Amino acid sequence: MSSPPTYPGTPRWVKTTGKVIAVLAILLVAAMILSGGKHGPWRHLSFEANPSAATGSDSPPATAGPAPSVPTASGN
Amino acid sequence: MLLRPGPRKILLVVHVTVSVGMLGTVAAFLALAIVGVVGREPHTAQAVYPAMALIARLLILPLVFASLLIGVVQSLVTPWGLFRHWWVIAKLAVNIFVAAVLLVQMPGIGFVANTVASNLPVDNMLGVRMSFVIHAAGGLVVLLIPMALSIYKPRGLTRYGWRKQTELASGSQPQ
Repeated sequence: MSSPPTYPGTPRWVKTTGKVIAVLAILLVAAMILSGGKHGPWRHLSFEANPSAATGSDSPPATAGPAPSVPTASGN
Repeated sequence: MLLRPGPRKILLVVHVTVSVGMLGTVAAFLALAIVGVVGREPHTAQAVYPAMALIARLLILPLVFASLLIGVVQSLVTPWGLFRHWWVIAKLAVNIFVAAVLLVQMPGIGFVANTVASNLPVDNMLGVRMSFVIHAAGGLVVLLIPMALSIYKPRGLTRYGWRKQTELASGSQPQ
């Protein structure tokens, strides 16, 4: 009785894709670390949504978070 | 449980329709995101960002999850299986990744839309507005991967798929 055929192994395209994804993941993690450990839209709002810059007031800038309040700047 | 060819075709039509529709809505979102960044008219932002929020919430989000769900169902009721072929796993991974990125982006889209709806300026949010362009463009490119995988179906069984195939001792490839 013949033994069952052995698994031919993971295809080359899967291995190559896996390596590319690993490199991209490392680059993304490095970019996140270099940018202060944040990624996503709130990263931009944390330093841009600054109402005092628009109103000229001395109030502190809006802080970033999962549910930030609407900036208090007026005008358009 | 495997479906008969007739219902499988219907499921395939629905899956292709939803997936292609998703590509179209992401393209529309990208076009608006670009206009939102480069537009110089004073009311451009007020028109563009609420429209983008609607497209994201009412079209892209449901289509992404519908595509994911239908794809999983389709794999389970056809001989392809969910974990038997590497290309099916790759499609699943890409769809999950797209859904995750979209969920991360949704609050930001709503935030900018609410800001312009309140007649507040978004001039100081160039970063997040650029982020919409980058993520939509990236999403569009990434969504081409599952489409190409569906068409080319690159060969390669997983170890599980290989075991199942040898167990069934079926030489015919599923359609």
